[in-house]
Amino acid sequence: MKRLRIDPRWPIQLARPVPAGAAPSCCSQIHAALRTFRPDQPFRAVRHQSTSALTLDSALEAAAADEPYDDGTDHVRFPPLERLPNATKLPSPLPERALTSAKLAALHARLSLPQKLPLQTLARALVDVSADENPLFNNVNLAFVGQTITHYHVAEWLMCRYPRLPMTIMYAAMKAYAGDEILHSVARSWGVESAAEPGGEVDPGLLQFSMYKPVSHIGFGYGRKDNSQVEQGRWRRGIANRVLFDDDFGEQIGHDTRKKAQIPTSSQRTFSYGTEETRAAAERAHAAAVRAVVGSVYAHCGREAGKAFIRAHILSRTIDVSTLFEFKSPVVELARLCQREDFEPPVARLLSETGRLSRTPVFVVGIFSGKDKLGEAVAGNLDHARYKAAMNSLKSWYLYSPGESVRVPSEMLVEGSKAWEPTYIDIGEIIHG
Amino acid sequence: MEAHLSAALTAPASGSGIQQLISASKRLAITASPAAAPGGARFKSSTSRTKRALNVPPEPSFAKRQDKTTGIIFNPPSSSPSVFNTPFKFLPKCDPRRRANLPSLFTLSTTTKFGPTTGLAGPSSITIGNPPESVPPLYHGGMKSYKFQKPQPNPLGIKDDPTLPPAVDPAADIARYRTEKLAVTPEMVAEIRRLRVEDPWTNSGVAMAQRFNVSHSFIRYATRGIRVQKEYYDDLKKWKEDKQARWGPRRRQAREDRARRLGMLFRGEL
Repeated sequence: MKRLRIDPRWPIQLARPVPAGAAPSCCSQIHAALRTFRPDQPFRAVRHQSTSALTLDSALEAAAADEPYDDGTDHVRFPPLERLPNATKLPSPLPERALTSAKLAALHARLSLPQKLPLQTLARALVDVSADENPLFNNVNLAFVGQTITHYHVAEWLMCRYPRLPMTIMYAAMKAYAGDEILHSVARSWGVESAAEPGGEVDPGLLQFSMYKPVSHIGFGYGRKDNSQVEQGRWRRGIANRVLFDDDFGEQIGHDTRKKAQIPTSSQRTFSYGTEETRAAAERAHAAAVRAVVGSVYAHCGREAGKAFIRAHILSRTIDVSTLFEFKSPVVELARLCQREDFEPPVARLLSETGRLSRTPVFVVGIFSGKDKLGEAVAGNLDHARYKAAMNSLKSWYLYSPGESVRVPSEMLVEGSKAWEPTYIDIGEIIHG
Repeated sequence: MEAHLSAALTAPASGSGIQQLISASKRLAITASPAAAPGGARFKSSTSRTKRALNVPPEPSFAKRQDKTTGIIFNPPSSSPSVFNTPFKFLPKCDPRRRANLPSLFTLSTTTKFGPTTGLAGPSSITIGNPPESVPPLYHGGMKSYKFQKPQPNPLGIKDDPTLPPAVDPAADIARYRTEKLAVTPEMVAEIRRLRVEDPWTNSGVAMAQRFNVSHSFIRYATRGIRVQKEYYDDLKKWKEDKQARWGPRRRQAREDRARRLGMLFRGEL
């Protein structure tokens, strides 16, 4: 194969606007007109059968179309393979192509989406901001609606289901239900496949995002003026502060926690595709697509359909909330709780034991307040058993639930619903020094 | 194949095999010192004596029940109770389970009745803080040292409910639960802070807690945010480093592992 020579004139030619002859077909003139304000890429129009870089290669073709410039290439011997359709100039497929996509129809049917939700909207939900920056064609707006609705339903359900959860655990549980990682797996379970690289020519049924295009992470919430001040510990970032600022998971807007994660060693890297950044980009794009689908269900089919969709796909997942806890001094915390609630002092009592003199003893310790047992635990060490029993007691306090089918405030929006009984919300978590 | 198998089967029956076994057991009996096992030597001079010595009677709670009830033996329990089962005491006032279960207010809220038993676990008539004489001391790790439980003074000064199991460490539990208000004045706090800045070596947290009759935690709160001389922190650091420099690799490893286990316990990973 023949390599291309670098020519100083190319940068000037690359900056040229789209030639007028490249306009798409008549029916899509409106969509194309909407996109004219964006700097398009004329050098993606033609593909050569060549090992040379795509941009340089097609730039040559574009240059040749405008003004004859002979660099010595034998065009008879190395002809251009095919002229790609004009749609390849667009960053994402045209909306009307959604009607002919089998993948999109299959996804629509697989999710049992109502007929009110058109295929064009579903196609738009699969275009990430990194693929198409135009907000009229990507899913940012739908994802914003979807995220708002999702977080509202997850939060009210968690709050009514576990009214005593501490705020940190609530944030963790919110993230466990509606975070990027989880929604990524939801999208994968829906069978959403992604295109290798976004473009106007790809099937609209594929999720389109670019792993290599640097896109600022879109987070919805109140950002801070200067994240570096918080990172350096100059500004405080307590729980109340986190409620006021930050996103719905209590994380700083525009602050990527992944940067602090350890860089995987080469042996670990061999077992996973891509790099940390590409995996994060894929995760964000999949999560945004799920949120956009939720948003489109809400936009086209209404509030109740959106809620049912969230219940079916997001709240139906099983998450063990009791594994989210981490304690520092559980015995003190339990004593403070018993003081606050006017219970008798918690006393650790030895319920059962075996092998006290052996290498592997087992102690079963229960925490009693008066005659009531608050929790119990098994450990190989009396101290550990006591700590664990206190932790279990605290967990059973925090994880109190009025029932599985607890009423949530959004049920009152339905016509003819029963009168609202005030739900039980705890006064707050236990404060101890 | 068959010949090989039969040879293998008959091999232990030959005289040389038995002799080897006997000599091996003798070697073992000689090398195993009686101090190695806390309960005594595992080997006696003859097989029958060893068998007799190891023929330990079963735990009393496993013995056949005299009352013919269908009791479930849990010793130790097969699984821990779920934390999602809220204890009766933790139910809020408005919860319907509390109204539906009113008799529980007057009895134990747990389903298990802790009556007097014959085993170690539930001896009756124990005051809080006084472990029974029959409970053997805790085996504390090293080969020779035992950690004896010190008889604790009764912090409540009342006799404990004899129907409940014995308390593990009542002094620690009661110390965490202070019902009386501390008689703390602003002058006292100012004095604590002044003393701390003046001479942090003498006025340590523990010393001032004893002097002012408050808890160590309160001294920590009261002295929060003040800076003492830099030499004090240097001394503290040097003292800690000197102490740790004397540790050998095994002690260091053991301490690191212990801290790691505690962290895992608090994260619920153990």
